[in-house]
Amino acid sequence: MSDFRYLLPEVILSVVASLIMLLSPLLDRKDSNTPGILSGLGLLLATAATLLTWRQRALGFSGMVLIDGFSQLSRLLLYGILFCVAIAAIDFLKREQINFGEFYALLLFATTGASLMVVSADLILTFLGIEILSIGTYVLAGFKREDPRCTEASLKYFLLGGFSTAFFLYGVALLYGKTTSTRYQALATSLQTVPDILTFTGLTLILVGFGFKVAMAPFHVWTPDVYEGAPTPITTFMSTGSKIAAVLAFVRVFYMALEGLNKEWGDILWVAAVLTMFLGNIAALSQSNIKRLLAYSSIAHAGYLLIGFVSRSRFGVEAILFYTLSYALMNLGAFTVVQLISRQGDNRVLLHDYVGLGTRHRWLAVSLSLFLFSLAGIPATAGFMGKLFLFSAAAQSGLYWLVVLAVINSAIAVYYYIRIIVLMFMREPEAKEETIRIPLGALAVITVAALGTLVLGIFPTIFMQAAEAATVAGIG
Amino acid sequence: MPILSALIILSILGGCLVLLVPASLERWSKHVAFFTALLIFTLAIALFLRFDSRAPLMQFVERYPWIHSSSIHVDYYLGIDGISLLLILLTTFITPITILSSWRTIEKQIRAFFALLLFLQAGIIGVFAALDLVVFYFFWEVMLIPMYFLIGVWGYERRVYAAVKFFLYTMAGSLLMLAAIITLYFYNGAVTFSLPDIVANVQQRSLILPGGVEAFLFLAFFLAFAIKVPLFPLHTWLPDAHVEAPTAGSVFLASILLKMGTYGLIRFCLPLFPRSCIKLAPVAITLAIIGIIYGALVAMVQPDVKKLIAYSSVSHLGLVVLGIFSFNVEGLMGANYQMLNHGISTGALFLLVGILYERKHTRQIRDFGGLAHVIPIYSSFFMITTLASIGMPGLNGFVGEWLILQGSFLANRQAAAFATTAVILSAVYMLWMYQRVFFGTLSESNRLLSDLKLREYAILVPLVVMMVWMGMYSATFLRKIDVSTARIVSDIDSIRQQISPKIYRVRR
Repeated sequence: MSDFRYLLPEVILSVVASLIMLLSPLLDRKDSNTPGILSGLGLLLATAATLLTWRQRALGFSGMVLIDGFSQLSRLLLYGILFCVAIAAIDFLKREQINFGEFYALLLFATTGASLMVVSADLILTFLGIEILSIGTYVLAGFKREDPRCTEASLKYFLLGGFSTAFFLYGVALLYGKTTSTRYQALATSLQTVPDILTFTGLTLILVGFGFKVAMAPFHVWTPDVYEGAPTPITTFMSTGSKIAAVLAFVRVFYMALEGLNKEWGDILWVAAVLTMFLGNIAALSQSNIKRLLAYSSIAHAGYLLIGFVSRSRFGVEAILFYTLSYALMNLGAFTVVQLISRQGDNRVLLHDYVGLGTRHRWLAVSLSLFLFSLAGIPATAGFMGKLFLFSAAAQSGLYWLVVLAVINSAIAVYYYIRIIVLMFMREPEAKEETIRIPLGALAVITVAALGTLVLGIFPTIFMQAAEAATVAGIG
Repeated sequence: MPILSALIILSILGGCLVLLVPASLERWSKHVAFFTALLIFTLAIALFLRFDSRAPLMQFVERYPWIHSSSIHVDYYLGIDGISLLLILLTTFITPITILSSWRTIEKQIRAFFALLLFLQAGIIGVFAALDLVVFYFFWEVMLIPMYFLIGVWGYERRVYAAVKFFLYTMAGSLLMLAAIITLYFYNGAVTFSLPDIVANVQQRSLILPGGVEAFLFLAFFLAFAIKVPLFPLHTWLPDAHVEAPTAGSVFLASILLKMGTYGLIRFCLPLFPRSCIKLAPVAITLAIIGIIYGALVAMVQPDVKKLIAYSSVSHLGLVVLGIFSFNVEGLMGANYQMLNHGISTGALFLLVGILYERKHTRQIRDFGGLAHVIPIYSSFFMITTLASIGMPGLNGFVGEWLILQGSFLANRQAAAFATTAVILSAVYMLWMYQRVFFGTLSESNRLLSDLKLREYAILVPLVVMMVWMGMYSATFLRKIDVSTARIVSDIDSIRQQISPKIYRVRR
C-alpha cells in the first residue's frame, strides 16, 4: 500500500477526473467554470504531491515505477503544460458551445497516462500509459461531434494510433521473448551484445510506436490532418503534452532499457532525424492553414529533438530536456494565439486571416512573432538556446554532418515562420475586423509563455542546471 | 564601470522607454530616442578617450560565466581593441543622426520605429564588442530582427520582398557559421568559446584542425561575412534592401551593417583560420576585384540615385576586402579606415538622397537637373560628400583608398592595378550623376525646391566635419588602430613563415 505514495499525483489526477465526470451532469452545461477550475486544482494538487517526493529516488510496485529526478522533472513539466492547456481552453469551449465536463475529465485522464509513461520502469506500464493517454486524446480530438473535420481527425488518429500501439506491444512481446522480462533494468543487463534478429525486430517495433507519438518520419503522416481537425486546445495538447510525454518516455526506454543497443538505434534515428526535419520543413513551406503549418513545424521540431537521441550522450539528454521545455513554451503560446484569433467553428485559421494583425492587435501579433522567432531559433529566445544545446550535443558526439543538415533545415524553416510575420506587420488589413476579446486564462498563458521564452533564451542556465540534475539522476 | 555593457543596456532601456511613451504623447518619443542616443554617443566618446592606444590586448574587458553546464561553457565576454573601438564610435555617431533624419518622415507607429533603431544599435554594439563566439553569434542574429522590421514596415513599395530577402540571405549564411562555431568548440577541446583563447591556441599550434575541417570552418565563417559585406556574387540582397529601406534603415545598412561583414573577416577569419585565409586569398581577392569593377559599372547605369549609391557600396566594400586580404599593415589599416570612411560618406549620401526625396518624392536622376541653381547649399554638401566618396585628397576617402592600394601593391601588383580602376570608375559614376542632377537645365517643377533647414544642417554638418577631419588629420583615428592591426598582421606573418619560409623572404 505504501507504494501508492509514489503514484500519489496520478491517483489525485484520476480521482479528480472521475469527480468531474460525476459532477458534470449536475452542472449548467453552458457557462459553468467548475470543471475547468476543478481540473486546474487537480493539477496543482498533483504538482504539490510531486514536490512531496522531490529529490527522492525509489523503485516502487516491485520495480514497475521509478521515482527519480528525471521522472519528477518530467511530471512537473507535464502538469505545467496541462495547466496552461486547461485554463486556456475554458473560454474556447464556451465559444464553441462544447463546454462539457467530460472535456476536462478526459484531459486529466490523458495526463494520468502521460504521467505514468514518464514514471514507468517497465515496458508494460509504459504501454498502459501510452494507451490511457491515447484513448483520452482520441475522444478529445473528435470532441466537436457535429464537425465532420473533427470526426475525421479523431477517426484517423484512432486507427493509426491503434496500429502504432499494437506495434509497440508486439515489440515489447519480442523483447520479452528474448529476455523474459519487461523491466528496464533487467532489459538493460541482458541486452548488451550485438542483437539477433529477434531483438532487433523488437527494438524497431518499439521505435515505430514512439515514432508515431512524437511524429517522427515516416510515421508523421497523421499529424497535419489531426492537428487541423481537432479543436485548437486539443491540438495544443497533442503538440505539447502528448508529444513531450512520448519524448520523455522515449528517452527513458532507449537510454535505460535499450542502452546496450545504442549503436543500432542511433543509426536508425540518424536517418529518421534527417528525414523528419526535411519532410517537416519542406512541407511547411507551402501551407496556407496556420494549424497545418504549425503541425509540420512540430514534425520538424521532432526531428531536432531526435538529434538529442542520436547523440547518445548525457549532454544529448540534457539538451532534449531543455528543448522540450522551450518547445512547450513556444507552442503553447503560438497555439493559444491561434485559438484567440479563430472564430466559432474554428474558422479563420488561414494565414490570410493574419493579414494586418499587427495594427489591429499589436500585442497579440508581437507575442506571436516572439513565438515564431523562437520556433525559428533566433537568439534571445528559448528556441535558439535549445538548438544550440542540441546541435552542440551532436557535435560533441562527432556528428558534424548531422549538425550541418540541421542548420540547413533551420535556414529553410526561417522562411515560413517569417512569412506569417510579414502578413501580420507588413501588409495592410483589407477590412475592419471586430476586436478580439482576450479572456483572462488565455492572456495568462500567453504572458507566461512569452516571458518563459525570453528568460530561457537569455538565462538558459536556470533550467539547464535542473535538466542536468535530472539527467544524472535518470540516466546516470 | 562596465562601459561596454552600459552602452548595450542603455540602448535597450532607451528603446523600452520609447515604447512606454503613452500614445497621446507619441511625438515626444523621438525626443526620448534622440537624447538616449546622444547620451550613448557621449559615453562612447568617453570610451574613445580612455582607450589606451598602445596596449596590445583587449581593453574594457568584461567576462562573466553565462551558460555553464557540464558540457558547454559560454562566457559573457566583451572587450575591444582599436578596430572595434572605432566601429562602436561610428555606430553611436550615426544613430542620433539617423534618428534626426527620420524626424518628419515617419508617420506610422512612431514609437516602434525609434525603439527599433535603438535596439538595432544595441545589437550592433554587441557584435563589435563580443569576444565570445556564442555571444557574437547571439548579437549578430538578434540584430536582424529590428532591421527586418525597419525595412519591412517602413520601407518603400517593394519593402516586403526586400526585407524577406535580406533576412533569408543573412540567416542562411550565419546558420552555417553557427555550425562552424560549435564544431570549432569541440575541436578545441570543448573548453571555451572565447575568441582570444582559441586564437592563442591557433598561434601556439596547440589547436591544429585537419585540413578539410579547417577549410569547411573557414568557408562557413567566410560565407556568413561575405554575404554581409557583400562580396560578389552574394550581393544581390543589397540593392533591394538599401533602396527599399527608409532613409534611416539605408544609412544603418550602408554605414554599419556592411562593416559587420568586413569586421568579421578581420576579427574572426584572419586569426582563427590563418592558413585557409592565406590559401584562399587569391579567390577572395578575385571576388573583391570583380565586385569593385562590377559594382562600379552597374552603378554607372542606374537611373535611380539611391540604387546608384547602393551599387557603389558593392564596389567600395570590394576595396576593403582587397585591403584585408593583402595581409600587411598598410592594407589592413587602410581597410579599417575605409570602413569608417564609407560609413560616413555613404551614410551622408543616403541622408542627402533622403532629404531630396522628402521634397520631391522621386529619386530618378532624370527628374532632376540644374538643382545647383535653386538649392545651392544642399548642392555644396552633396558635392563635398561626393568628393569624399570618390577619394579626393584632403577628404577622408583618400587616406583609406591610398593605404589599401599601397598595401595591395606590396602584396599583389596585378590586383592593385585592377583595383585602381575603382578610383577612376567611382569618379565617373559619381560625378556623372552629380552633373546630371545638379547642373544642366532646371525643369519647371523643381524651381520651388527649398534649401536645407536647421534640422538638416544638424544632420549634415557633423558628417562633413568628420570627412574633413578624417581627411586632414587621420592620425586621431589611425593611432587607435595602429597596434591592433600590427598584431593581427604579425600573427598572420608568423603562420606564413611556417608555411613557406622561402617565398616569404623573397616577397619582403
